[in-house]
Amino acid sequence: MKKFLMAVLFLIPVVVVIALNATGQIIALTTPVNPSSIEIRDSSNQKMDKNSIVTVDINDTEEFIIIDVLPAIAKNRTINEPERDEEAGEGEVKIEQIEDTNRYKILPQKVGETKLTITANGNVNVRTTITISVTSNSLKSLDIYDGQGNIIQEDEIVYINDTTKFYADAYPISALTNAGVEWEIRNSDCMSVDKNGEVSIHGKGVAELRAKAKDKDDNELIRDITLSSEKAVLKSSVAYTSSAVSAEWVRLNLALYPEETVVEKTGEVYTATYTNPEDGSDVRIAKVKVTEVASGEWGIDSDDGVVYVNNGIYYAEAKRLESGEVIETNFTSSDESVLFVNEEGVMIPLSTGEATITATFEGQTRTAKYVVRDNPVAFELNLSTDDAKRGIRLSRVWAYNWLGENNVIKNSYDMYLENDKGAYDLEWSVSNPDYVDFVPHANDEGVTLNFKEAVCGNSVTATANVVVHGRKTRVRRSFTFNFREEKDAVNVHDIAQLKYVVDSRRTVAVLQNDIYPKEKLTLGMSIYGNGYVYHGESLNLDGNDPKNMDADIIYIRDDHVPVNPDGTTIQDELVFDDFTVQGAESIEDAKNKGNCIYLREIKKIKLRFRYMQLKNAHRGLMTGATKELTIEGCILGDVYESCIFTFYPPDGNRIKEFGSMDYPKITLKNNVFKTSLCPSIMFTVDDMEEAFNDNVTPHLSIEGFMDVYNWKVADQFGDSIVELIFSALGVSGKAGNQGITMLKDIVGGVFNDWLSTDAFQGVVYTHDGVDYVSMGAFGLGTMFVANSDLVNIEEGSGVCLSKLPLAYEDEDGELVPYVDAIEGVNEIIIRFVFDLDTSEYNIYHDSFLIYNDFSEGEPEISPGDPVPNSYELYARLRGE
Amino acid sequence: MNNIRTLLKLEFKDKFSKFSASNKNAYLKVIGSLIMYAAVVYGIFLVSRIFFQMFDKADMGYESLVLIFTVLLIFLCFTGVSSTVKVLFYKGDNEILMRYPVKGEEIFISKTLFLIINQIMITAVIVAPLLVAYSEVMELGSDFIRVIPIAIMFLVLIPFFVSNIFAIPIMHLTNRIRNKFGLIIIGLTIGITLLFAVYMFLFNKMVTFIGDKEFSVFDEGFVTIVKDVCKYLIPTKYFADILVGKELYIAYPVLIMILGITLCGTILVVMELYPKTLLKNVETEGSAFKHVTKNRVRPIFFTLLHKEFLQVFRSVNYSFQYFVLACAMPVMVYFCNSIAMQLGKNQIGEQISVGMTMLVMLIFATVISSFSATSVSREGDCFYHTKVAPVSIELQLFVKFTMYFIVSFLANIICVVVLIYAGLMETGTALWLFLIVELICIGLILRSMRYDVKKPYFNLSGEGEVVNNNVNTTRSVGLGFGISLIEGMLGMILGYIMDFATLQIVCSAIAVVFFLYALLSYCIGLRKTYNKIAK
Repeated sequence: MKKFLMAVLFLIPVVVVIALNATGQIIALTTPVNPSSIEIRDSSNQKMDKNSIVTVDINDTEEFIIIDVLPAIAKNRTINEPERDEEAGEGEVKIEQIEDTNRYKILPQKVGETKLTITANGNVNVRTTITISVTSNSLKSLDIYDGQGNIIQEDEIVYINDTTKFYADAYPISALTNAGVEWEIRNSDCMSVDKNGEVSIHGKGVAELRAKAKDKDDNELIRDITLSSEKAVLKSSVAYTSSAVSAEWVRLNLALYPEETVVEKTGEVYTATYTNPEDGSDVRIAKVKVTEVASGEWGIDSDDGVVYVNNGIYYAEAKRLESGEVIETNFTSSDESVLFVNEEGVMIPLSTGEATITATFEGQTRTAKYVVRDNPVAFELNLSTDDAKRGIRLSRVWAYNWLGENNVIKNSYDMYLENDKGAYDLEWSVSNPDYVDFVPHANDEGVTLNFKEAVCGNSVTATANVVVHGRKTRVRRSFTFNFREEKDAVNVHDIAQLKYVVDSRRTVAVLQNDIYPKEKLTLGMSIYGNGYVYHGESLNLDGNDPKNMDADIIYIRDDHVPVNPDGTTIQDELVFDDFTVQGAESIEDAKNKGNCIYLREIKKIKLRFRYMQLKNAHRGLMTGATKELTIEGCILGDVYESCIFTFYPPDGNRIKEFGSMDYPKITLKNNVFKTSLCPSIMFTVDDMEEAFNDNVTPHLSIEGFMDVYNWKVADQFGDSIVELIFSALGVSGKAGNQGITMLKDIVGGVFNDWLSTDAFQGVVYTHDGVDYVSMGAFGLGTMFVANSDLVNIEEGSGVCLSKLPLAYEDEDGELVPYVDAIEGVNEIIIRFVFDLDTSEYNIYHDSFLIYNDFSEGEPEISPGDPVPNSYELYARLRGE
Repeated sequence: MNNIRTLLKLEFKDKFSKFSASNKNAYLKVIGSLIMYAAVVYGIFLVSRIFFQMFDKADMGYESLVLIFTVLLIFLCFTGVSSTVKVLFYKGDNEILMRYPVKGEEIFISKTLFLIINQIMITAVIVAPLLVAYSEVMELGSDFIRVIPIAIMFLVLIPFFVSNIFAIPIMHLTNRIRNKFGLIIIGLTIGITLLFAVYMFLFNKMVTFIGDKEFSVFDEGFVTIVKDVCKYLIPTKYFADILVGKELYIAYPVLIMILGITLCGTILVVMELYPKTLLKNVETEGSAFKHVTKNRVRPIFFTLLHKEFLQVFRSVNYSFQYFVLACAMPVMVYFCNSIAMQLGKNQIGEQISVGMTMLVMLIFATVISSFSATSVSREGDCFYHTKVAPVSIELQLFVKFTMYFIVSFLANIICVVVLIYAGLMETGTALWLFLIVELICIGLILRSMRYDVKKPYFNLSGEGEVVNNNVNTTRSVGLGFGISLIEGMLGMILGYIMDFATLQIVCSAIAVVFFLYALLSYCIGLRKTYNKIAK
């Protein structure tokens, strides 16, 4: 028994893994599985995160990374061409897939760092980044620069008037050998240079300073600059002597022109004044502090005590203070993990921190403290390139105003390092000081950007550069802010801020974060969404309560639109741009989760929905008596009832409502309609009595393309239309009402019968032996007039329109089977619901359907086709 | 010599007594057994191949062989001690044999020969495919194959002699702690948990390796440690050495020397101690200890519950089958779930996490519930007491059920607490999961008890304990696995394609239906079925 149980125990994981695999197969067969994440591993199969860096030599073409698009059962596990962040460095690489594997070769093209963004082909919202550092064994350049970070050109003469430190920038630093950069003064005795590049003046004259570096390919690079001490007054500003110090001593020992120099003691320093004998107006002043020391006194020459990791080697030197003579000592480090030093004084900074170098000579000990800073190959700001590409638009906009504490308006934004450990130095700059200036933070490397009004409608870039010894390296990160032109536009990060902006009647809000509302939001302003999500599910609408089908997540009202004192609107149109509104986490919970957006009689201003996504709610967009609406580049659908539900006033009321028969207008351009129970767009009525026998269809213009994924099997057609009618009648809400349910069954049957008539020839599409109808837009006729002449469909849109007469007789002149049923329904609705005389009402007005055009054989979108979530779709939506 | 041969035949007859040449079913059983053994051998070959490939990829091919031999040697020593103690000392026929006109040495030799032959057969079946797999992975030639029998002989004989040396002292030690039941349970629990943890570690590595065989699944630190340790694993490294032909001038002499020393030790032990121990054992057979208990008056229910508890608690076999596995269950669930969750998330997505956890918990719950499939069988000799006792059958069985319920309840609740504490699941979901698992657990207990009521398997020999697996336990495990797979896979699928509410409804419905079915099938005709039982 024990053995049996042990065997069973050890079989358990096997059974679990088999069950997991079987489950994966079943899910993959029944459901289109989209990618949800990307995992990258290096060539040792170690998982990488966004802070990991892959280092590859310029000549190495065998290095690879492993890119896995997860989950493993996703249908499409390919990736898009990686995007290079232009601002992340000079390096360039190509990524090439190795046959059909998940391995991708890294083919270096150019030395330097680069950052690639990798997105899944099946879902562009799934993305990750990787930083690659391309190194080389060959030095490409060697420059000399001063303490202010200025590179000195070869034809430039640098006048020095004190002991001056010069630095060498060898690029790429990885090519430098362990010997580092060698310094040399040539052609003169008036100056000398130590191993660290510090030049001392001994007399007046001109000298050549040479920096020499050898790379790992054994090539030598040389850089020469010209130094002149002719304008110096004193040899240095700090001196030591064992003699008695006096002004005379200073003049004789430190002045470069002793005859023309007058030295006076002022406080603790000596001031030397030189007057050019040939030009009396040429007077130069220099100061020196002279310290008396014991003869032979020595110390460690540590300069400013700051060294950098990954910046070559440094030297610790012990010198006689008075003469500057280098003495041979042994050096040790207090922390070799931070700063390693060998006995000869070669220092290699290894990690950030502080270390003390100790030298011992003739029984005496001297110390020097060093601070080791980092010289990273990459870093991240709180806003990266990814943050700039959001939504369908793949960009990001900003408003001029932010809300600070207590909703105080401010025009500043903080930028800072991600994971700032204070390990390296940054220098910030902006592309246009007329648009912004910045104030460095006291406690970190970030800055506060103070934007100016001139930035409205323009762009400005903030750049952070890593700085080493005062010089900007090639490692930098930038972020470009694209500003809206409206001066009163406000950036909002949460619902509290959005409500404040709405209540203060501004014209534009720009979302900078997902929003979680607690109640319906009523507004009359434009919103630019930057691809963020307005989470209507946080309203916690009860999906079992039919009343919630008419709840609104966002409610747009005419009387909330900001106006000028003369009553005209401030803006020409209200724009809702590039954000998602959802009523629930998934389509399965969408029923009775309200309308994503409800437009209530917007007559004084045009409306534009652009690059919007409305989903997982009872309806997407509900609108009545809205004068002019443009829906462009949107993805609507995966809603319970319909994507766009309209109830316009009939023709008879249009002059009263809109002042013209040319309205209402709807323009649809480059949109995608996903699934819904009813037709994606429904043209129904508001006031039924007023609309009987009158037209309720708006002026509809379909431009660009219209992709309809809302296919219904023939059996579902009737249910779809019935749901439409009952929703329009406003009786759908009475769930549980047996009479309504019975009526639905009867009417549904009627419409299913209707499907088999000649009217639907050319509308029903047979795919794999099954009849389908594509439910794009439906204009309800029957008791109302659905005037299809008001519909204009651009050629090449992928859809077409058919009138659907509700025929009274068939082709043989016989009454159609459903005549009795439809007349019965007519009686019930007209007579009993509305208490009207049925003889006055014709129920046989034509309806119309806009559906996927398959007149040339196949529609562009077939039943069952998945809706892509790719860059190609986004480009199409943008009209590119 | 004749006596030894006769005694040896007796041993083999005793082991294979069930086979009868005239019985057709016996032939079918033999064929079935042979097919099963062939499958086991092939399975060992396949798994070993992956194992060795995995280690070879990390440049630890030789070390993997050393480790395998180390594990085998330790395992064979343990099982050898156990077998030796059982066969040489504790087997019930000793008292009969000692009354025969045979010498103690002849009994010893026949039993020893039986053990060796048995061990050679089993070891050969397990080790041969393992080593063949190694030779295939490492691309070793016929030289390696030729040495396999020698390695197997060393592997059988050395542990055998070692176990003979240690059998008697260990037997005495076992006798001393035999009444320390709590200690035994704790020790076994820790042992099982560690063993399972190591197994899960290796299993995870192997599954990862199967996913992509181009990479080593071990990090450098681990490889360094293993290589360092393997240098000092004596004598098992010499087993590996004789196979791969490394330093044979050391390996063979050392192994022969160890063999010689252990053989001498065995002879000494046998000559001096075996007959004495055997006789002493005959007089004080089994585990005899004194434990003075007070007579306490308890209600009937608690008396029976106390008796049930002691029956399990005071038996190492039963403790292992039940308490040990129940105690180890939370940790095993945690390990298994962590690894399965990682695999599941990468393969399918986060949505399957609840279903996956449900599968793991239910499967482990199945194992601990299977003990109830011997609830009647365990009465053994005392079965008829249950019929004549002035307590109804229903109550007696209810008491048994109560004990199983308490243990499974505790094991499941600890599992759930571990899951919540480890952040693997939200509290509300975990509590719902606990209810589902507990319902199914109760259902499994009831079904298992019913199987055993319908057809118990009483063991009337030896100590009278149910030590062999029977059909009821197999059925119980099979049913449990089936339910677990249905619930678990449905949970994963629904969690992915539907919403959590649907998953809850469907899985709860299945659990409730199963529970009701189990309850009804248990209760209906219980007394009648129980009364039909006759030994």
